[in-house]
Formats: sequence, C-alpha cells, structure tokens
Amino acid sequence: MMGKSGLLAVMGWRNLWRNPRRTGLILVAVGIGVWSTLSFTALLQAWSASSLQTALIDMTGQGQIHARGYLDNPGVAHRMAPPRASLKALLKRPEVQQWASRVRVPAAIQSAYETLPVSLIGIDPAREQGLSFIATAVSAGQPLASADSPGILLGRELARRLRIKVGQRIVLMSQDANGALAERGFKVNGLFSATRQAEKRYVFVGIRQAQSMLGIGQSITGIAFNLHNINHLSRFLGQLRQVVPKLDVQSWETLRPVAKAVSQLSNSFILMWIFIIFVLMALGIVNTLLMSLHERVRELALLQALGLRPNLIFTQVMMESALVVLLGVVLGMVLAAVTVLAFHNGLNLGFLARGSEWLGAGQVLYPRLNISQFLGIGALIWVLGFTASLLPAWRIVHRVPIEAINRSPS
Amino acid sequence: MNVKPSVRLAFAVGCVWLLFSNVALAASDPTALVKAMLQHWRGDSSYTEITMRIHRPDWQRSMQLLSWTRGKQDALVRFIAPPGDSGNATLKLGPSLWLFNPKLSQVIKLPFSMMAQNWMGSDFSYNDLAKSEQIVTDYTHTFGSVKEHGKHQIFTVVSIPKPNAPVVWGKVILNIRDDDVLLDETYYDQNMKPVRQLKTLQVSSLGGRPYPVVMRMSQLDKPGTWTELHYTKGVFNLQLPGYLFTLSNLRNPRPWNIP
Amino acid sequence: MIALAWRNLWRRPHRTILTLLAIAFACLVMVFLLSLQVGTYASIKESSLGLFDGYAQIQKPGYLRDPNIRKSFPHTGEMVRSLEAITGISTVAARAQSYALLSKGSHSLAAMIVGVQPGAERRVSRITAMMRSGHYLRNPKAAEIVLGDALARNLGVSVGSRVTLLGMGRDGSVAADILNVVGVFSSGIKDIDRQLAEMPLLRFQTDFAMLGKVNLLVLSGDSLGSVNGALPAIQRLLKPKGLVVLDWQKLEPGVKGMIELDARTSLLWYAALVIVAVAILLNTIFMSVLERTRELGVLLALGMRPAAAGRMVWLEILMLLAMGIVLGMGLGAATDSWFAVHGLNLPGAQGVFSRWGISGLMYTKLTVFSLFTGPAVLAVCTALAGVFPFLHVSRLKPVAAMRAP
Repeated sequence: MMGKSGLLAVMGWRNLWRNPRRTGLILVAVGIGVWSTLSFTALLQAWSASSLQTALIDMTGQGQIHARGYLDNPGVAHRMAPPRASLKALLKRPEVQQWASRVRVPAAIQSAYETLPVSLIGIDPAREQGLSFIATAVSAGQPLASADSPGILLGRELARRLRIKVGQRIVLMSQDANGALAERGFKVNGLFSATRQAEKRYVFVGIRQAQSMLGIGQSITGIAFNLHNINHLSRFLGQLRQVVPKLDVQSWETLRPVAKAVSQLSNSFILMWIFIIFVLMALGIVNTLLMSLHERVRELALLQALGLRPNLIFTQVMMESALVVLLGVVLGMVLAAVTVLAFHNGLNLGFLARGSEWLGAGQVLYPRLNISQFLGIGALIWVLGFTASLLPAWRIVHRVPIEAINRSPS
Repeated sequence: MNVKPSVRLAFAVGCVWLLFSNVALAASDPTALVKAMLQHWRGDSSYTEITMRIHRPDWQRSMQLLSWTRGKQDALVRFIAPPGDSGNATLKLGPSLWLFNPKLSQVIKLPFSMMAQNWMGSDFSYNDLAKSEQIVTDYTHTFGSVKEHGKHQIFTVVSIPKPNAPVVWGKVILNIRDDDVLLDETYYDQNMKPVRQLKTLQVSSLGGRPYPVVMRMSQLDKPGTWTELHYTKGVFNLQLPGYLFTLSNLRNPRPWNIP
Repeated sequence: MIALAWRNLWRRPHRTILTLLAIAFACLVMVFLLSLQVGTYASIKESSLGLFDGYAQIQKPGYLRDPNIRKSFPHTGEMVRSLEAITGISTVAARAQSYALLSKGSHSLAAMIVGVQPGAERRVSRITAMMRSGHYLRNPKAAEIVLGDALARNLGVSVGSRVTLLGMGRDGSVAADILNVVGVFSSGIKDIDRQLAEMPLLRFQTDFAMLGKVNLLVLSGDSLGSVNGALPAIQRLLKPKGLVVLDWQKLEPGVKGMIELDARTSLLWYAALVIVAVAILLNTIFMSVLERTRELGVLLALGMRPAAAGRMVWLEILMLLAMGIVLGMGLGAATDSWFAVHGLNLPGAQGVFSRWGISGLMYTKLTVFSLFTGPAVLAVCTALAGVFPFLHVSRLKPVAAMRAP
C-alpha cells in the first residue's frame, strides 16, 4: 500500500507541474486567501490591542490601588500610605511589568490671563516609562528629570489657553491636608502632546514636589501597574486584595468601562471581518478547484479507459488537490509572516489623524506573529480546500468514460 | 553768638547729611520702601469709606462700601449702597475668604477655584483682596530710577517674583513717592508685556496723611475697562474691637461707630 | 457578440454561479457594513447631541469661544414662532447660563448654572428623563433646582435639601438665591454630572438681572438631517439680528473628530477587502480563460479576430459583474431593511453606547452612498482588472491554443 500511495503521490506531484499555469492559478487563489485572512487577523488584532493600549496609557494602567473613597472624591482627604513591605513585595514580582505611585488631586492652574481647573498629577518620571503616555509625550522643552524636579509639564492646548510658554511660570492652587489653600509657583519645564482631553486636563509635577506642596509627607493617592500578560490580571488582583484588604483595588475594566466595551465591540468586528474574508476566499478557492477539475475531465476519462481503476484515480486526484492546497497554504503563510514582520517596528496610522482634531491620538499598530493562530487558520483552509475537492472529484471520476470522452471539451 | 566757621560748616554738613540720609536710607532698601508704602496705606489698623465705580465700554456702576483692616491679615468689607448690593460683605481671616449675602443670610467660604474671580464684578479679584501682602513677601525688589516731580521724589521699584512664589506675573513695577504714597503699580505678564495697572489719579489728605484718594485699576488690553476707588473717609491706627473680624459678625453685623 | 458572451456564461453554470456568489457576497458585505457605519454614526450624532446640546444652537457671535453672560439677546415670541415655522425645526428652547457658586453648609463648589424652560427643555435634552431621584423641573417660576449626581454628592445634598446660589449677574450685581433640590440626574458623563445644575429660566433671569434676555436658543427637530436642512433658512432669518446659528460640528467637535478618525480607519479595511475581492475574482477569471484555451483557439481558427475574442471575454466579465452587483445590492438592501428595524446586537455595543444613554442595538441606515459606493468601487476595479484577461486572450495564437492540454 505504501508503495502504491508513494507512486500516486509522485505521479500527482509531477501532474501538478505538467500544467504550471493551472497549478499556479490555484496556488495564487489559495495563497491570496490564506495571506489575506492571516494578515487581516493580525492587523485587526493589533488595532484592537492598540486602541486598548491608548486607553490604558491615559493614566489608567491595567490596575490601580487607592484608599477607599478616593475614586468617588479624589482629594488629599482620601490619601493612602506609601506601599509597605508586603505590598511592595507583591509589586516587585517578575510578572509585574511596571508600577508607580502617584499623587493626583484636583487643582486650579493660573496664569496672567486665565484660571482653569486641572488634575494635578505628581509622578516619578522614571517609573512612568511604559506605564503612561507622559514618558514619551513631551514635544517641547524638557521632560521632568526626577521625582524632585521643580518644574511642571502642561499639555500644549492648556499652554495655549493660558498663553504660557516653556520657561515661564504658572501658579497651581489646591487644597492641602488641613483643608487650607495650597499654592505654589511652578516653572513650565515642557509641553506634552496627547489627546485633546489629556492636554487640557493633566498637569505633571515631581511627586515629591506635590507631596510637599500639599503637606502630605510621604503619602500618596494611588498606585497604578501593568502586568506583562494582561490575562493574569484577575488572579493578581485577587492576590493584591488579600495583601491590602483595606485598600480599593480596581482593574481597568471597572475604571474605564467604556474602554472595555470598545474592546469587546472591536473583537466582535474582528470576528465579522474574518468571517467575511474567509467566505470570500472560500468561494474563490472552491471555484478555482472545481474549474481545474472540470478541465481535466477528458484526461481522467482517458486514464479510466486505459484501465486505471476509478478509486485509484480518485485517490490520485485528491492527493494532487491536497498537495496543491497545502503548497498554497504554506505560500500564503509565508507571505503573511513576511507582511507581519515587515511592520515589526509598528505600522503608523498617524496619517489618519492628520487634519482632524485628534492629532496626538495617532495609533501605531504592532502586528504580532501568533504561530498557533497561523497554523490553525492554515490547517482550516487546507481542510476546506481538500473537502471542496471531494465531491466534484468523486463525481467526475465515476462518470462513464465514453460519455466523458464524447463530451465536447468546454 | 559767635560760632566758629568750622563748627558752622560741620553743622551745615551735618544737616545736609541728615537730610539726605533719610532719603538715602530709603533709597538703599527698596523692600523697606515697599513695606513702608503698605504700612502707610493701611496702618496697623484702618477704617475707610469708599465709593467703587466700575466702568465698562457700554455701562457703568457705582457702589459704596465700608472697609476695616487689622494688621496685615484680617479685613472686613461691607457694601452699603446701592440697595441691590447693600448688605453684601466679605471677610478675610488669614488666608481664607468668606462671603455674606443678605438675601441668603448665609456665610459662604470661597473655594480656591474661585479665588481668581472678579470681586463683585470689579477689576479686583478675590486674590487681590486676600494677598495684599504678597508684594512684599513673594518678590525681590530693586530700584529702577529716581525722578523729581514737583515737590516730591518718585522712586521706581522693580519687583521680580521669587523662584517658587505663587505669582503669575513676570514683574511688577511700582512708583512710590517719597512720602510712601503709591502712585502706580503695573503688572507685567510672563512675556514682560504690561497687562493691568493700578494708578493713583489724585493724592490729598485723608485721615491726617497724604493719601491716594482716587485709584484706578485698569485692564491695559481692554480699553474702557476699569474700576475706580474713591476714598471719602479714612481713619488709621484706631482701636478695632475683636468681634468685628468674626463670622458671626459677618452674618449679623453689630452696630459700630468710629471711636 | 453579446449573445455569444451570454451563452458562454451559462455553459458552465456551476462556475458562473460560484463567481456570481462571490461578487454578490462582496457587494452585500460592503453595502451592509457601510450602512451599518452610516447608521451607527447617525445614532452617535443624534444621541450625543440629544443629551444636552441639541441639534443646533443660536447664539451671539463669539459666545461659543468665550462664554460670557453679557453676550445675550432678547427672547421674543415672534422670533420663536418664525423659527418654529421653518420646516425641520420642531422645538426652540431658550437658555441662560453662568458659572456660579453653589453651597450647602460648609461646602461650596463652582458649578455651571443653566436657566431652562422646563417644557421646551424636555423636548431637546434627554437629561430631563435621566433623573436618578426626585423629578425634573416643572414650575417655570419656582425656586427649584436639579443637579448632577456627582455634584449633589460632593455638596452633600439630596432631594429636599436647600442650596444657596451665589454668582454675578449680567450687570455685575450679586446674584443670590436659595433653591430647593427637586431632583438629581445621572447622565453618565462625568463632566456633566459634576458641574451641571438647571433651574427655571424665569427665575434665573430675575436672579441674574438678565432683563428678559437669554444666552442661547436650542433647536431640535425630527432628526439631525431635518435640522441641518433648515440651517440656510435660519441663517437668513438671523442675519439682520446679528446672531449666528451653530451646527452639530461646532457643538460637538469631539464627536466629529472621532467619527472622522473611525471613518478613515475603516477606509483601510474596505480598501483591503476590495483588493482581496478583485484579486480573487481576477484569479477565477484567469482560471476560466485558461480552461477554455482550446475552445478559444477554435474560435480564432474559425476567423474571429483575437481582439474580438478578448472583448468577448471582457463582456462576460462585465455581465457577471452586472448580475452579481445587482444581486448583491438587492441582498444588501434586504439585509439592511431587516436590521434597520431590528437592530444588530454585537457584544460590547451596549457598553459603548450607554455613555450617550442609548441602547446597544446598532441600526443600519440605507442611503444612496452606502448602497452604491461599495459595489461601484468593486465594479470599477474589477472592470479595469479585466484588462489583463483581455490582453491575454487577444495575444493567443490559434494553433498553439488548440493544442493546449
């Protein structure tokens, strides 16, 4: 049996290359189908992940810890102590990618021309790398050097409304730990670009400057963190809640319910698109295969007339089908891999935001090579192609040979 | 009597030296001059009656108010005319500002977010009321120039905000007369462009001292927009009862007369 | 020639039908998705505007950029009537507003106080129906106020409490009042719930010395489209009065930006879909041409000119396209009408749209744009791509073709 199938396989392979154009066209059909499905999936997933990332990097992070009551009424009255040994140990675990303490209170910012409400955020700049947008968003002047830096960072839009430039001074007013007015002059270190909302609402200072201005010593108002793998989040949150039962631990899903909904909606859309591409591609592949089989009716009938048993012909034809579809699938996977890797450094969709008010919200997509997904989809398409050839191949092979030969070759 | 020429000369020199030393003293410490100006303006305590006139390109309003100050920290202002504004009062106790409105018969603490708002619709903000001492504490001062004007010398003091001071201005330039009367105070933005100015339009005697009895605060980038203070009466360094600067008095004013 | 092309198509029904299905499917998808997008955008626009801003507003020039209570204008019955007479406008609601201090006990907060006409306001703003406790304003003259829930919470008031209002009137005098909290609303938008308070317009005008003037007129109609259509007539009416009318793009530039960004991004996906579809179609056509090489060779040998044979093939493509597109558009329109009534429930949609207070069902909206654009692009691209098979066929040599395997 092995010998026979081996022979059939070799015959099948050589058959394929006897008519390179036909084989080529099948390869192209399958290849395009696989390539488009895989690339689309990777790009759409990257887009969904990028949208989520854009939401999380807006000072949210994957999870946050606060004192109880802070989220309802964010102010120094609901501050918390800096993380103690047990909490710190948990945050220092390798599964945590970044974590940072912050002091965030409502404040008013004043220039010679305007007074505007803002959210004052005291940060440790080094710890915000990868956690929030501020680490990379400074577009003019200098970023904050350290947690002690005496300067302040404003959004470009806020600076425009205040009529303030880098190097000039503004006054920040807020309420201190005793309920009295806390105010201080800050020199503008730099301006940052981000979403319009962020530019209008956030101002950043060194965390220790914020603490001393508000008179809260070492206290903070919250901690934000990111894990390497967002799928481990709920387990980690459970562990956090055990270590600090008196504090309020929340995930991004409760902090940003709209981001969660958008993420879900994106996933639904992704599925829809993949289904669409799949159907389109399936129609194309089936059609191509059918046509190729029909074209070979005379040749197959001749083989039968020459004595080759229908079952063997059938097996051989199926082998050819299986081989060519497999080749096409592999070709498509390689092309898709190349496409994904080509955008390894990110596909910048910033040009889409140009001209609209969302300059600064430009998204960069990082498509990822998901091997199991690739193999899964590739296998699925291979099975599809194989199955699509079954019925027509069976019907063609079992037709009466004379009839077939007499058929006009059209 | 027959004084020796050398003694007379020494005496003359001594007089001249004394004359100039006063000026020299003041001229050597601009901060002291600014302090002296504030002290002259408010005394250790003061009671003043003021007509406030708010002028805009298309309308104008006039109000009358009474003002008590105690030291550098406390002040009470009560409006007595016109009837629509009568009874409104503002109390400053240390850094906090409290408002009273007779229609509400309620005392309200001003939140920090409203500190930059205009006070009673004028060109003075609540900050101006609350931080009158700021010109001394939060700036460093240098002399600009000295000018002669009639019988007086006028000192120009350039005030630059200290590094972390909560001041929005780039600089403030004051022109103070040699008798400690403030002639004008000009506020510059961070680009050193003049934005608002408090100018004395008339100096005459009030409460026994030369006083800027008519002052105008104007917005330099908005022509026809200013507020004028006309001082009609002033008593300085008088005894003020403690109850005057309390919340309960703000709500229920006890009768008070100039002692 | 046309008859020949037609018969050619139906000699291999399976092949033709499969290709037809592919074309129809691609068209169906594009019509459906575009209609879904158009419908969703319309939903988003109407709900975000219907929450508080209204479909259009009439203001004094410069008020939008720099709101100042002094930028006001008289509110005459005659103007309201002439506005309501314009087709497309159903309600005109007047408002006057200012930032003022609200306080209760020792808590005082700055809030945006808006004087409204309770009856008209119900027809232009959905907030009136989002009361979490108590009820919305009823009496145009009473000392009543409704607040956002976060504002109420931060002030420490609830239904039945009294709050003090302190602000500055239009003429600079002190505006002061004591109002009863009759309701607390929850719009879901933090900025609104933390800062907005509404009171009856007549009382606002008395407190703030408005002398019967208002700061803006909010316009509403059957739909955003009907109001947009009425804008030119409104502009003509307002010109002599020195007022301006602002459309939704000026009122909600954030929504406009978001829709633009989404539209441009989806353009990418649609372009990719068209490319993939055209590639697959082209491939199919080439396959069929290849399969018919012998037959074409016979035709050429019989005297048909190569270019004519090429044209015949091209005609077949066009006929396939025409049938497929018509089928696709028909199916697309049918699907649309079903979803336009029943709505599409995608997981996650509820969460996204709840922020504007509407349900999560996504409705499609069939417009000329959504019906024709996708299929038209597909048709043009495929017809152009048909050049390649045309060229291939017109270069066939009869003898070589007849001998093809």
